[in-house]
Amino acid sequence: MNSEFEKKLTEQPVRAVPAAWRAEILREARTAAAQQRLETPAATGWRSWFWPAPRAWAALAACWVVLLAVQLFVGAPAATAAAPVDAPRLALALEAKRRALLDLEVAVVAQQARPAAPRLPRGASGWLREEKGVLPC
Amino acid sequence: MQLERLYDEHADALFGFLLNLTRSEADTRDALQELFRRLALRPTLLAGVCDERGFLLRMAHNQAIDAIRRRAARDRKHEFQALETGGLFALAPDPDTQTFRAALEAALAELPADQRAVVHLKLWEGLTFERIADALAIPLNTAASRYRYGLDKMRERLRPLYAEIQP
Repeated sequence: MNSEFEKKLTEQPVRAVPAAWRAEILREARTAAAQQRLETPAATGWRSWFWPAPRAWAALAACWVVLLAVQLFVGAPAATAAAPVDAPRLALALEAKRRALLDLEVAVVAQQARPAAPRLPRGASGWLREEKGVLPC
Repeated sequence: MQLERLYDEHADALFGFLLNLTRSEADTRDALQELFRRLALRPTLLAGVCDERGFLLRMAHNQAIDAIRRRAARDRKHEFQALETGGLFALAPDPDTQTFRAALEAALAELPADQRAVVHLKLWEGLTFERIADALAIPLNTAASRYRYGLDKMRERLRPLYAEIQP
């Protein structure tokens, strides 16, 4: 208090709560609590089960949130990388490569089975015969 | 039991605060009843609370605000009404003091409810501005300025009487 006026006001005593109210207020409060216990036994049971360690439950919930967040952020690029490939197109491309390889093998075998052609004489007539498909005996 | 202890330790303070705010003994009774009903329904409400009185005053303030709003819908003039029954202050043995207390009640009734709440907690509960700010959920500076404005108005209103009864 920093003034005489405030001191003067403080000295005026506030009236006390009427004595008769105590029993009534406490009785009504207890009745309401008892009624609530009767009406919601399940909720009370859950509360009594959870209440002993509310911080532990909160910490567990926080861990789950963190794990979900990490999964969400880290898992997203991996999912993109592992996007499903167009399977029919891949099969067609593999088949085409396989055929090309087979053709190449057949050509190589045929080339090896053909007898070696004699060396043609170089010159104008030689070139001419070669062009006409006439090979010398 | 916990409920009895809470009542015995805090009911007088809560009663005075509620009566000063609501200006109605019936509303004060209802608010006090509701407050203790909530405490009975949730026995763990005060678990971990360091400042029981501050916490209960905050609950009482919320109850009083609800009561004032309900009454405002019924009667717009309740802010400036005298107390409906009884009085805020105890009866004084001598007439001069009784006159001063009656004038003080009238001066309090003219204050807006938010200023009245701060003035009450400061003068008759002896709370610091920090605890008042906590109890009423307002900034510290707001609590201090409401007190100053409220006190200035009351000083102005009571000046003639106060000067007269000064020794």
